[in-house]
Amino acid sequence: MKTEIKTFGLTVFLGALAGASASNAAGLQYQHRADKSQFNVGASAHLEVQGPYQRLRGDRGAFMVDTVTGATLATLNAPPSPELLPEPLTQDPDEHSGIARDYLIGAGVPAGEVSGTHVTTTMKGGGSTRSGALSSPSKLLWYTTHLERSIEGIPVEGSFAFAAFDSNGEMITEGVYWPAIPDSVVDEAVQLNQKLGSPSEKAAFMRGVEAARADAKDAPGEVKIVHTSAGHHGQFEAKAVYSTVVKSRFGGKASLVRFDPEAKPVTMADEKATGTDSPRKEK
Amino acid sequence: MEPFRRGIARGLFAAALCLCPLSAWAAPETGITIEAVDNYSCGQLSNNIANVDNFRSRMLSIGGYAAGARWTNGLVWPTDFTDVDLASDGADTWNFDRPGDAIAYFSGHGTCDDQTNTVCFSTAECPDVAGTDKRCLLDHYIWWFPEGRCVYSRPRSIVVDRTGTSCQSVNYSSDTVRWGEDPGSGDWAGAALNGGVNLAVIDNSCGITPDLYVPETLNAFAGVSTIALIMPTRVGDDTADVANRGRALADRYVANPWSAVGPSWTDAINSVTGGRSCFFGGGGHGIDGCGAHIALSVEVNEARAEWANGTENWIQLRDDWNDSIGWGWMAWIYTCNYDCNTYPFILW
Repeated sequence: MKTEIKTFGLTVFLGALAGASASNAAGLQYQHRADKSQFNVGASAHLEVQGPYQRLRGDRGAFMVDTVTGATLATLNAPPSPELLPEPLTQDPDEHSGIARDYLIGAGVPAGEVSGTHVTTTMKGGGSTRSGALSSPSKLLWYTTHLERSIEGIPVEGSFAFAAFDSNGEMITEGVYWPAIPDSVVDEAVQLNQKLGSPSEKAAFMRGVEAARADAKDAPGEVKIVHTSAGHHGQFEAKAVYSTVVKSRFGGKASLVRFDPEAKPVTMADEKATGTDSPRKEK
Repeated sequence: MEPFRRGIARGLFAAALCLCPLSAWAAPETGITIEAVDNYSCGQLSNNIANVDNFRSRMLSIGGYAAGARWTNGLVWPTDFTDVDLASDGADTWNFDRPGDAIAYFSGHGTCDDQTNTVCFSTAECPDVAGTDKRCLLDHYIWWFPEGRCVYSRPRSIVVDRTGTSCQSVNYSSDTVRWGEDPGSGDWAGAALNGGVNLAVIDNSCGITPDLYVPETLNAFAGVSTIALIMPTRVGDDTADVANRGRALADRYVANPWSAVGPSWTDAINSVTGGRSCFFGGGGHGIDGCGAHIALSVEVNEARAEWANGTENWIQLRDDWNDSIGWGWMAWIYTCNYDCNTYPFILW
């Protein structure tokens, strides 16, 4: 069931969800909110509530808050015609990243946890299918800049803060999920990193890795803090892990393989099957 | 106005071809079918089933769509993807391309036999391989001179493992694969009218070779509006086995059902985590190295293809009358996990 709430009291309503938390957390939480966002939802803004999602929606786009995890995502409505797709703010990714970084940190993302930036790049193209393989170049639509999160020098996997701006300086999209990371997890990650700095201790750890999964022993890896993803509505989990990417000798998808400080394989709560197969099929 | 215009045109077209009652094909297509394999004898994976479950549960967390079929591991068969009218054992009408479904999502292995280690500095330098198109894919720079590796339009594959003891492939480039044919699209691809899906997501490895979109995917378009894939953009790089890619796509629907479907898939890469860095900077986002989410749409002309690719929203996706009605123009949109504008992936 969808409930609509008029704009009266909107900021208070959305703001009630927001806040920062530092209790028992070395990794600070930042929860983005509509009144801190430059995303313009357009005219006729109103609040919709659908289950655990609160959506501020207008005739240009929507700003959504997942009230379970605090993650936010703002996206444009589909343009009325393809000619109205956004144009890029700039052809210079560094210029875009400077603007996006200032914006996101200005909104409240903890600057001390931002260890870098990178862009993703959206492009489009097309051509006749009658000519077989096409040689028509694609054109840049926009850059999206991501803030990279690290705590005590340990990269955090699962958090994100990104923003994209168009040629008018208007936001195309933004998303933030920057949960608190418990002290204990950060401490464990730092200790694991120190342990793996010692050749003898690393050798012992890697013997454990090999025993658990032989094909992971030669894959390059690093210590990370990993947490459950922005859409996970179960119990929040954050763990200190040694993380590797293992390519199969048969080819195909590469596996993300993680180990705890005791070199035991780690599966996060949102990496488990939750469904049930349909009744057995005949064909 | 465009969807309405398309609807009338297609309605008349379909009515001329189909004797089924109006009510049978005027109903919205809402089903979401998911198929995923982790139990492979050719390289065990662990996150594909969770990936499709996370996708569908997020999609169904608000109204608008309904659960279709769910097949995992040994219940995913090669024939799930082949057309019932073109292959003697084809069974997509009961599985990956069911009437009444709007979305079908496969997650599992693919093959990377499109990639080679043959060094090139331009596409013309790549040796010809009979029956394929070729490209020189940027690999690295020697000082400021780009060096690449040759890639070819070999058929792209979905890999399954019905018995858990032997992997099988079905290729969607040249096999008897046709998706999306139904009364709204018409029978222009020779696959009758017993399909349904409007968005097919193929979440596998080496799902498509950069710039070889037409030879590798045109075959599968038979009414489906958009096919969404993952495109490694450097030889040796590939899709990572992550559990949050499907949910990142569903997040775009949940956040804004009026957002465009094609850009939702490409933008979803921004919310995917895990993977490894790209040689040209950035990386990760569910990719082991450099790559992109790409959405392809095929229509009879440019305007319709662009509409399907960049404008059709999640609500319009359920409307059978917005199906593709023929080959003629391909439109694409992609988002790389690095700066592929400064570092274009093809060396011409």
